[in-house]
Amino acid sequence: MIPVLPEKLRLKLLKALGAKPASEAAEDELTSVLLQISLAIMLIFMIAFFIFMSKVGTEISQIDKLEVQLRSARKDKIIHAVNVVAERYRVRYGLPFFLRFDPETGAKNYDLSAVIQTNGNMTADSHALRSFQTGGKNAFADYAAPEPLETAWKQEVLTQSGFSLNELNPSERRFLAEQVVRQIGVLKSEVMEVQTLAAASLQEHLARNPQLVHDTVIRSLLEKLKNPVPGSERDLWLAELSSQLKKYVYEELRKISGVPMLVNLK
Amino acid sequence: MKKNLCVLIFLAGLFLTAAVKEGEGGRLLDRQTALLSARLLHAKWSESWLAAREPSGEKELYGWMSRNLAASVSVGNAEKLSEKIYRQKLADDYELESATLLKPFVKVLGPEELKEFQTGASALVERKLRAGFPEDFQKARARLGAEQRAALFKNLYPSEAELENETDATLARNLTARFLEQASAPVLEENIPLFKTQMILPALKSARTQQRRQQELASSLSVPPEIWDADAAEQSLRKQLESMVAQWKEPKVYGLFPRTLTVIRQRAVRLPEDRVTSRLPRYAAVPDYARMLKQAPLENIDAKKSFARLSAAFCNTTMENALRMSDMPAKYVPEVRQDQKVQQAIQSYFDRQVCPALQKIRDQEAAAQMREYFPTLVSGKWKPTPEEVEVFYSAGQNWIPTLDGIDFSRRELLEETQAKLEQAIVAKLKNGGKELARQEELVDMEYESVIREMSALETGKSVSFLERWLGLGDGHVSLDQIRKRYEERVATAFNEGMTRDYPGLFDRVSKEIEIRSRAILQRISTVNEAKKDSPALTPVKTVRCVIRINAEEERLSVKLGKKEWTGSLRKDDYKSTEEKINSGVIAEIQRISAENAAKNEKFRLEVQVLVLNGKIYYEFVANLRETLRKRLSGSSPQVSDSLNRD
Repeated sequence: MIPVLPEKLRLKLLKALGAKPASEAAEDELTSVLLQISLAIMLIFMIAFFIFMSKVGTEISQIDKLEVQLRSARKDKIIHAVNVVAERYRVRYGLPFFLRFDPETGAKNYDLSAVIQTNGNMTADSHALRSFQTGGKNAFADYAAPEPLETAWKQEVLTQSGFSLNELNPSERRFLAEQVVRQIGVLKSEVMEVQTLAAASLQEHLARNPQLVHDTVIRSLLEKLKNPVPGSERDLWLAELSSQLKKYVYEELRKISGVPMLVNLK
Repeated sequence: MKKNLCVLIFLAGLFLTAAVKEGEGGRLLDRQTALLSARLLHAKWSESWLAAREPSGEKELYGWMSRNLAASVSVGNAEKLSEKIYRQKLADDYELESATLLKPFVKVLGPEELKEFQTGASALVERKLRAGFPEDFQKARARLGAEQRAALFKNLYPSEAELENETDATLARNLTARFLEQASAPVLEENIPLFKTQMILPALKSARTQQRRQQELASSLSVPPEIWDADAAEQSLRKQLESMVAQWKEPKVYGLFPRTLTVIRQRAVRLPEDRVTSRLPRYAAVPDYARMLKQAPLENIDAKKSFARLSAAFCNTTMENALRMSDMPAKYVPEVRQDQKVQQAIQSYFDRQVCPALQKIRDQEAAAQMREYFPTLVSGKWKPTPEEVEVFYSAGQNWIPTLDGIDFSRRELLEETQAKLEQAIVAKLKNGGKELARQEELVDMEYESVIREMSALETGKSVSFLERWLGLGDGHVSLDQIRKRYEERVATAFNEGMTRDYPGLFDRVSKEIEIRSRAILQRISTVNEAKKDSPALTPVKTVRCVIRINAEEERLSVKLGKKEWTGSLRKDDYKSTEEKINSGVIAEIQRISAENAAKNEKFRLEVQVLVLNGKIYYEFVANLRETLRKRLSGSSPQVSDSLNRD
């Protein structure tokens, strides 16, 4: 025989198991119908939202493209301005007189044949002489003070480009600075190339007349090197001799031309 | 050629064309700098290469000549051929060193530029050849020659017997001939004369030195004391000498020479005798001579006799001492005792070593006798009387008169004492004689000053010599005043600033002063009379006769002009000498006077008597003066005299 639970105990068990009594079951069904209706309405709204979003995205992409084109145009303007300013400085440094362009390849060449004569003296051609001397002096004066030179360049580029510094965003400012520094470096190497070619011409003259070299340091090095005993120490002395001879020729060039050499700038 | 042209075109294009590619400047400068470096270095190295000696030049030439000896016999030919070798060696060295020097630049410089460095090579090689070849050739040649001489001479050293029997000249001749005979390889031409000077003579010198050293050592080496036997002694000496000779450092060390062996044998045979003679100081029986002198002085007055008496006893005693003390085996004793050389050695030892020691003892004893018997003489308090000094002086200072207070007659005085005594007395007498001579000299000087004053008075240059000399002004003076003043002045001058043994004037000096005082007085009288008779003298011609009186080694010499009279000063001859000279002088003066009178002009005859060196008695001078005065007074109005000693 199955025992029967007392009533009180049976209710307590149902409550503990979460079971609802039969009176509450009809309310649950109603609630589920209402929920289905709400889900349908929400679906409609979602479809409408996605259609809207698709149209807005296309428009935004077109706007971004336009912005990129604008930035590029501003940079080109800056580059152009930098090139114009660089040409001005080339003139200031006397470079156009020596610079030649290969008509086939467009490569840059330098013609220093008229500057140092075969007897080791400076040329008598006043145009060439002035280009070398004035240009060299200007270059030395500019490159002796690099910060003011950079500032002047930036100002000239901004003026040339029509921008004011405030108009430029940080990226453009950075771009401007990079371009200016690069171009200043390019011009410096061009001036140095000219002076190096002049020094090479003078060195050729000295090589033809080695008796003209009068220098105590060089003499002492020659004294050390006079016995041809190979070795690492001798290689070091030979390198030192080469360095001293270059120093000597630049110094001689400075003496005969009156132009301070960029190579001597720290 | 084509290649060179291309390179030139390339270079011209590189440096002379109008334009250079951008970035080429640095490379061009590097290249020109490398070229300049190479040229500077090469120039510098060339200088030092030229200045430096070719390190292996001498070696190279030596090697070549030694390999080609036949071609190198003649110096001229060898030099000619060596020069070629040397030149090639220099050229090779130049090329090698130059290449090493330029190695770091080979990649940078072109072949033409590198070739350019060889341009002056031949001229440099030639200069270095001229500078270094002669010396290197000389050295190499000298080395080769020396080595050849040494090699050839190695087996040619003369033997000990040859060295003993032949002279150096003969040996040099023989060895040169042997050298040429035995040389199998060609001999360098300069080695033939050099062989003698460089090899033979030094070798002979070394051999002779060894000979001499061997003999010296053979004479000086000692034999162990226990050995007396001649054979054992000879063996010992030989062994010692041979071991010493073996240590000598000479190109050729000789064995013992025959003469060295002879010396050794002689020494061995005479070993007992030599041992006695070499140790004589140990055996010498020296007597107590000081005691002997005290005990028997009369027997030892004469040193020679005294030593002769001691000699025999000394020799006998010393010989016996030697035989007894030397531990000599009995068999040698009679032989040594009879040996003449041993006896001579002992006698010689006595003469050379003992006698000087004995003489020292005698000298000490003589000094003691002097102190004992003549204390005042030793202390310097004794001095001879002025009379004794005068006698000594008059006798020519070589005869000692009898002296007051000195007794020579003591019998016990040693001959050394007597000599010392005589020496001390003569020194004292000589000192007195010196003072006497000084006084006489002062007498002369004073007299001369008076004569000068009087001459001045006569010529009117002085107003009163009497005031200056005598301190009188009235012109009236007596002989006594003159003599007294004369003595005072001489005595003052003699004692001035000095302490004299004889401060007073000697009698002899006083007498001379007296004579001269008379002469002065007479002169004064004559002058006064002359002044009265002829107040104003008229200048007349003066005829001067100078009489020079000199004496040397007992001979008196008188000169007047070119004439000279001489005579002995000995006591016996003195009077006749004086007469002969005086009459001769007077006759000559009369002749001169007559000669001048014949010219019919008034003249003044001045006779000057100069007393020069040597022992001249003033008595003679005074007599001559008086004679002149007497004999000439009738014929001439004025006669003046002076006494000068030059």
